[in-house]
Amino acid sequence: MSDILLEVKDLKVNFYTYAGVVKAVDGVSFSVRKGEFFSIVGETGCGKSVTARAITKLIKPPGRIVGGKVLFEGKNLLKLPEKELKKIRGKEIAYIYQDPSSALDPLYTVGYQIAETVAVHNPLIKIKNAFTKAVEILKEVAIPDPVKRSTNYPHELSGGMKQRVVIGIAMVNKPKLIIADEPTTALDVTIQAQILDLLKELKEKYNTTIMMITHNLGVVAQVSDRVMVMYAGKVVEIAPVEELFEKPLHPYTQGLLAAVPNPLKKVEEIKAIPGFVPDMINVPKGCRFRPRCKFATEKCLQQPSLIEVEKDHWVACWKYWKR
Amino acid sequence: MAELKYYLIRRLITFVPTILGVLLLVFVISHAVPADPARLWAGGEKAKPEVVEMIREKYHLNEPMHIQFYYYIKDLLSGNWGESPVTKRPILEDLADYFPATFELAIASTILMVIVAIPLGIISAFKRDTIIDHLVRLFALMGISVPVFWLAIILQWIFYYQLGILPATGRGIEPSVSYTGLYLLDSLLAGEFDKFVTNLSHIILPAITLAFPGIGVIARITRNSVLDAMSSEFIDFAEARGLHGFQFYRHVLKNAMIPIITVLGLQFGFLLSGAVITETIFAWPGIGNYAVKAINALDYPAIMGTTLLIGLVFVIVNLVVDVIYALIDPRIRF
Repeated sequence: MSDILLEVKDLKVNFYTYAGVVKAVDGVSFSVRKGEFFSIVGETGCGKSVTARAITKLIKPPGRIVGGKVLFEGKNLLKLPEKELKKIRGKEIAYIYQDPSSALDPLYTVGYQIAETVAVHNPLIKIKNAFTKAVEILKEVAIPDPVKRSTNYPHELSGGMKQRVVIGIAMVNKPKLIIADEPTTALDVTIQAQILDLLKELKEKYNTTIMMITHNLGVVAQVSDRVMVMYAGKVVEIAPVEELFEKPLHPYTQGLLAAVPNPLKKVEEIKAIPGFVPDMINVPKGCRFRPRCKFATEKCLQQPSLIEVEKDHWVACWKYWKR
Repeated sequence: MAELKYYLIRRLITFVPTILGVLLLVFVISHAVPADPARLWAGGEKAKPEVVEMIREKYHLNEPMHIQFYYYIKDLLSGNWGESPVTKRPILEDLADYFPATFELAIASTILMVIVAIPLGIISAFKRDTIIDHLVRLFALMGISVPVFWLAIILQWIFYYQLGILPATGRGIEPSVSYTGLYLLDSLLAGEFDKFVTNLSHIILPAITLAFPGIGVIARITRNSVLDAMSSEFIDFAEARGLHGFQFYRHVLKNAMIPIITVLGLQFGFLLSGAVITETIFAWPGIGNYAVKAINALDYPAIMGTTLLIGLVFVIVNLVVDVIYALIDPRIRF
């Protein structure tokens, strides 16, 4: 068990809206192993970003973490006081946010923003002295002319460069875990590949662990070791990446993969999953995919829990329960 | 910083046509009024035609408009803003007497606004939807809704009539030397601390009266812009980076500054243009007071001079605000 870096157990996050309670994350459990590239995929609103932010308690009202445990190196982060969490955020667990244009403060130079991230976690270093560190990290994330770039404001950089800066901010304190929340979604397709390569390269170099959230299956295939699929606030399947793409077990995962055109085959017809994502206030009883599932039976009115069908391949579907 | 320099130069160049516009407006307005100034200055209805004609000659009133405008600008630039037929003094001298009083009052009430309204707004935002927030918002609403004349009289009634701790009217005692025309500053510079205390006691009530509506507006703006800044993605990210304390709040506050500076600049401009009601109630010898007297006496050179001064003040305050913008926000420098 010592190779497990992060273990999330039965995490529950609710959002209290005027229309009702949204159970955005409803009993999610998974673990991330040291040194792996773990991806979470799912559609918009399936709770993947909320899961990512809940790990260091970055949920703001009207959202609230209502249950579960987040064990990071054995410590339950959800039980830690805010003061301790602040020491972990950006130092042990660093984030990469989706849109680099809005993740950086427009009024400060990128060098300053990297430097302050260093200084805030190292009381002995003053921001002024951390600028050399900022230039170093900019070089590390392959930004040309890092000395000059460090004095630029965010609006003077391109989207791809800004995302490199954000990655630099995440890397600068050599965190044990990087949570990348849709790191390529806001970027051009050509830049996406570069950013993914950079992430992979830095992960090897610093020997860190990455947990990536995305809705893009192509991105998942390119970089991940293991993948977790979420649907409507629940985990439906966890598997090593090849296994998931070759032998998806959950009907939702199967539908998801069928809906992605394969560039090697002539596209006759893209098979959309029938129906709609459920209303998160009035979720269907039992398995949440049941109303859209062609294999649905009586049994599916009860929520199936995850079972390990093959080694490392977990799925939450009654189909695979031996009765 | 190079772009900041170019921005300043560009901004200064656009300053020129604005000033010209102000001049033209003042000039046109003064000529649009139906009264005949030459006849008026010659003594009204009973004036001798020769005298009226002489005044017309002297002030180029028979020339076409654009020639008159030329003389107007030429005189303004050479420091001749005309002479008041009422006070028999050059307008510029009158303005130099009255404007410092208004300037001093404006600065005092702006300082009050800043030290009261901005902290209130920040507290209100950070304690959003708590009882503190509601109280601050109620106070701000009061500030905006209370009429100035009522507030002025109530303050006088309480602090002068009932408690007798503050004077009701006037500006205090003139310091023996006049470096700036600002009594408080001059009395400090001259080392006359007793006069400083007296003058300070005189400025308190009018300053509070003037600051009160501004406090309401600025507290609200501060609250909203802080909340706005707090809801932005980079503040979330700042939190995710582990920033805390001053390191964290400087990101919030700096981003909340722009709207606050805008409103503060506008308020300061209004205060400098003379608060007619407040200056009248407190017998404060400021520009508002002067303007009212000039209007009552149909003192055209004085009216034009005051209007021009107020216009200039507004344009300059705007320029200063724009420069502050550029210092805060690098995106504006382009």
